[in-house]
Amino acid sequence: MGLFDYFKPVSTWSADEVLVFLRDKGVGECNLVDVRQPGEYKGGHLPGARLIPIAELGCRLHELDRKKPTITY
Amino acid sequence: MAGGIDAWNGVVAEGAYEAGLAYFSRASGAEELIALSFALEEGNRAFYEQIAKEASGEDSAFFHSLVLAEERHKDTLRELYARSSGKEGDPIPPEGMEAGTFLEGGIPIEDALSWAEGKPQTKILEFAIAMEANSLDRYIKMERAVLDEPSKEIFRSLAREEQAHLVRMTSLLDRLHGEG
Repeated sequence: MGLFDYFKPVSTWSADEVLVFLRDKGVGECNLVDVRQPGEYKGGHLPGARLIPIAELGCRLHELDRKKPTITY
Repeated sequence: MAGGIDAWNGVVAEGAYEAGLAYFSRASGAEELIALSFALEEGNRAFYEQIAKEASGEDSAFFHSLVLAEERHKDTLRELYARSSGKEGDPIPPEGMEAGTFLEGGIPIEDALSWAEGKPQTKILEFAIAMEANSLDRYIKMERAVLDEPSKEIFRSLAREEQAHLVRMTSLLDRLHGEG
């Protein structure tokens, strides 16, 4: 049993894959979440992304629709 | 999304570390969970210690405070290990993992330090935030995996501390960005 048996890679999409998903299905078909800080979000964010700073994510998970995929950045 | 918003904007990130690339997945016996946590806390401690040495002023002091916090976590895990296993001393790390050689997600500490060299404090802090988020996630999962209430409470307490670290780190990031 090695170290990497304890960890599973998080499914990661490239920016192009996210772009295709949003173009084809629309932002309403996912939870698009910006986990940065408010100042960074104000400086520019993906269209339709909602801001949930990472330190708040744990107590704001209820705001996400569990039936939809969640894309974070 | 790999590469974050920089990738969306077409910016090729300078070897940015995809720190959120793995989550703790394997439910194991309490001893194994504690030993893994201890090894990872030592990895985090060693990383922060090196970063503190290379930073200056308030930044150095901040990372040094994280070194002390990780030492406290190790003490807590040492006590939990003794209670759980009946053995004294440092928990024996999982096979193939020497304590202090890996960070969350299995990132070799040497790779992380090599990446951090010359990087601005904001980038190092972003990486550290991702590490702490992984630690928080791990302790939440460990709390669910153990059965006895005293162990559950210890993992809940460690999770609360990691959450507190996240709040401090993101506040510092705001200040570094001129927002706080």
